[in-house]
Amino acid sequence: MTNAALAFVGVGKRFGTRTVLEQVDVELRAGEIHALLGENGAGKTTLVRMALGLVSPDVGEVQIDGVATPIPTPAVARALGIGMVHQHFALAEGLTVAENLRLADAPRTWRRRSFEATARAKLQSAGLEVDPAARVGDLPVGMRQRLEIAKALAQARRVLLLDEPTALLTPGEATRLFVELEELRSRGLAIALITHRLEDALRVAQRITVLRQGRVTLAGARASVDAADVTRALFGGAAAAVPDAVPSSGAGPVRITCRGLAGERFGPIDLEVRGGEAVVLTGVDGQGQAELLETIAGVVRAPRGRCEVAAGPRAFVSGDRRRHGLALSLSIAENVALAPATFARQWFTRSQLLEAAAPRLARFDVRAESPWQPAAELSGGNQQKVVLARELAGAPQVLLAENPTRGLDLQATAFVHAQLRTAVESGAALLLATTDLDEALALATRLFVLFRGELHECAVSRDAVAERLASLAAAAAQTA
Amino acid sequence: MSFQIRWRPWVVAAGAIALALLLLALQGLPPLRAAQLLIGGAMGDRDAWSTTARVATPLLLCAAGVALAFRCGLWNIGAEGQLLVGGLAAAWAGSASGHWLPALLAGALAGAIWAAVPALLRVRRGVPEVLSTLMLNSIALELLRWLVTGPLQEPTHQFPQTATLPTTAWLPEFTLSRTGALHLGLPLALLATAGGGLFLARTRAGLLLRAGAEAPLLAKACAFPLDRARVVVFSVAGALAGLAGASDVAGVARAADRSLAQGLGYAAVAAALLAGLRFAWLAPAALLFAALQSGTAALQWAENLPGVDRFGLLLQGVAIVAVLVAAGGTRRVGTPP
Repeated sequence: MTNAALAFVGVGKRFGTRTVLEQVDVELRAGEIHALLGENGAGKTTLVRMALGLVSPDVGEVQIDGVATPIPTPAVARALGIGMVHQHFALAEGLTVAENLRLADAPRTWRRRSFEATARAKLQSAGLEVDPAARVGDLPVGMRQRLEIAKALAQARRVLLLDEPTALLTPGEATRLFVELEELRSRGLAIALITHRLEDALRVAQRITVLRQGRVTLAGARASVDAADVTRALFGGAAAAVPDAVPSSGAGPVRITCRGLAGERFGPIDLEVRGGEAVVLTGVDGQGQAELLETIAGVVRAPRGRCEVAAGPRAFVSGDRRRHGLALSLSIAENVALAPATFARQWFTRSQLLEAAAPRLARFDVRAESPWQPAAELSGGNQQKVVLARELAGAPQVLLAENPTRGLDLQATAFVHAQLRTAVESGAALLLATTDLDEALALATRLFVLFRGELHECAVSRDAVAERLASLAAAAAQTA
Repeated sequence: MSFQIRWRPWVVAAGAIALALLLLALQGLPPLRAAQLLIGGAMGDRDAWSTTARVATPLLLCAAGVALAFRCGLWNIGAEGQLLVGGLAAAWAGSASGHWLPALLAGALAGAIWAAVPALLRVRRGVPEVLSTLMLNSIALELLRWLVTGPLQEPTHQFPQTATLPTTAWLPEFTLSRTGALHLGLPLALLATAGGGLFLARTRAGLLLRAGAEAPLLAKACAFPLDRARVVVFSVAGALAGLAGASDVAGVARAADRSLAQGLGYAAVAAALLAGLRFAWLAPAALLFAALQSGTAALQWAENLPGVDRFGLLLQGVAIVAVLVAAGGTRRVGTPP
C-alpha cells in the first residue's frame, strides 16, 4: 500500500466536555480527490484545522508520507506544502489580481512590473485566463474562487484543502471548478473536498469519508459506495430507535399558505400547513431552508409569490442563533421577555420582568448563574434553551423552526420534541426544517425533502427519505 | 457588546490629566499648585461649583442623547450639530415669543429634525449615520455662521450674533451664591438622564431597540417596528442635544454666536463612552469633563501663563483621546458560545 500524502491516524479532539472528533482515520492520497462529507458540527472543520496547524489532536497523529509529523503552527503546514481554499474568500477586493497573488507569499520586492510578471506566470500554470491588473472586486465569483485556488497552489505543493468550494458558485462555475480540480489531481496533488453536498462528492471524488458527530460513519472508494450508503451514513444508522408516535394528521384550519413563493435560494414553493399538523422539511444544510423560514416568518420580504400566515401568536426558532435568535449583550431574562407573546407589558419593573421570565427559564432548564447574566456567557445548548423558552412558552398557533435541537443533549432534545408535539396536538401548525433525519421522522405528519430550494414530498420513513435524497443527488451529479 | 462600566477609561483619563500637569511644570508652574488651582477652580467653592454645573448641563444633555442612540446601535456623532441648530432655534423663538418655554421647545424640535435626517437616511437608504451626522455638524456650523451675520443678526448689525434675549425669555434660575446661579437646564438634564435610562431598561420599546442593535431580525420577528422606532429614538437623542443648545442660549449666553458648542458635542461622545454608556454614570462623567473646563479657566485666570488658554483645550483633547482609546480597547465583543 502506498503511503498517504497526508493521513490522520486515530485522531481525537475534545473542547471542554464536548467531543468533536473521536478515533478518526482519514487518508488523503496523492492523485486523488477525497470528499469529506458531514453536517455542520460533524467535525470536518476541526480536522482541516489540524492539517493547517491551527488545532492539535489530543490523541492520534498526523502523518506525512507515512511519517508521524506534528503540525504545531500554520508556518509548518505551509512548509509541508499544505494549502487551503476557504469558503469565504480571503481576497482583498480593492487590490488587483497580481497584488493579491503577491500578498500570498512573502514579497521580496514591491516593484509592480516584477510582480505582475510573476503573477502572469502563476496564473498561466494554474490555467487561469485573467488580467493580472484587473481589480478583484470586478471579477465574477467563479473567477475569484479560481484565483483563490491559484493563490493556494503557491503553497499547496502536496495537499490542497477546499472548504465548501461550490457554496457560492453557479452550476456552470462549479463544473469549471471540477474540471480544474481533475487537472490538478492528475498532476499528483492530494485534494480534500470538504462539503455537505452529496452530489458534488459523488461527481468528482475517488474516495469518500463521511463524518457524523465526530466519528467516521463511512469510508471507502467512490466505486464501492452509492448515494444511498452515503445518505445513511450522513443521517445516522438505520438501526436507530423507531420514532415516537407521529402526531395525528391535522384537520384544523389552514394557518400557513405559500403560493409560488420564491426567493434567491428557494422556490417557487406551494405549501399549505394546517393547524394540528407538523410539516417537516429535511435535507442537508444550505438548501434554502433558512431563507424560506425567514420569508414565511416575515423577517425578510419575498421577492416573488405570496405567503399568508394566520394572525395570532407565532414562534420562530431561527437556525442562526447569533443572527436573530438572541441579543447576546442583553440578559437572559430580557431575551426571554422580547417576544410579545411571553411578555406584553409596555413598561415594567425588574421584578415584573423576572416574574415573567423565571418560570419559563426553569421549565426549559436553562442553567445560568443569574437571570441577569448576559446571554453571551451561556453555552450554546443553554442559549438555544433560552430561545426556545421565549418562543415556545406563549402557546403559539404557528411554529416555524430550523434545527431547534442543534447543540442540545438527548434529554433536552426529547423535552423540545415533547413541547413541539404538545403544541401540534393542541392545534398549532408546525413547519420544521431539520437536517436531523431522526428528528424529522419523530415529528412529521407530512415530510418533504428540500433539495436546492425545491420541495419533494416523501413518505415518512427512513428508507423513503434516503432513497429520495440519493436519487436527487445522483440526478444532480449527472446533469450538472 | 457589553456596556459594563470599566475602570480603565477613568484611570487612563486621570493619567492623561496628570501628564498634562507635568507639561505645565515645564512652563514653571509646580504640578501640585496647578492641581490645586485646577480642582479649586472646578469645585473649590459654590461659585466654582456653579460654573462647573453650568458647563456640565449641556454636556450631560448631549451625552444622554449620545448614550441613548449608541445603546440602540445608532452611532450618533452629531450632538455638536444638533446642539448648534437647537441653540439657533432657541435664540430665534425666544426673541420672537419673549418667553423661555417656546425657546426650549423650538431648540428641542430643531435638534430632533437635525437628527431625523440621518436617521431616515440610515433606515431608508442605508447611509451610515456616523458619516451623515458628522457632516451635518459642519453644515450646522456654517448655518450658524451665516445666520448670525445674516438673517438672524442682532438689530444693530455690528456683532456676529443673534439679538440678546429679553429677560422674560431667560431660563428660571436658582441662586447658589452671590455670583453663582443654576438654571432650569440642570434639572432637565438630570431628568433626561434618568428618563433615558428608565426607557432603555424598563420599557418594551427600549428592550427591543437594544435587542435590535445587535440582532435586527430578532426585533422584527418580535413584531416590533424597528425602523420607525429607530427614527424616533434618534430624533429624541437629537432633541436632547437641541435642548442643550437651547438651555445654553436661554440660560447662560442669552444669544447665539460662534462660541456656541465649540466641541462640546464631541466631548459628550467621550463622556458617554467614559460612562460605559451607562446612564447612572453619565452625570459623573459629564461632571469630570465640565470640571476640566472650568478648572483650566480658573488656572488661566490665576496664573496668566503664556499659552495657558490653549492648555484647557489641550487638556480636554488629551482626555477625550485617552477615553476613546481606553473605551475602544475594552469594548467586549460577544464571546463565542
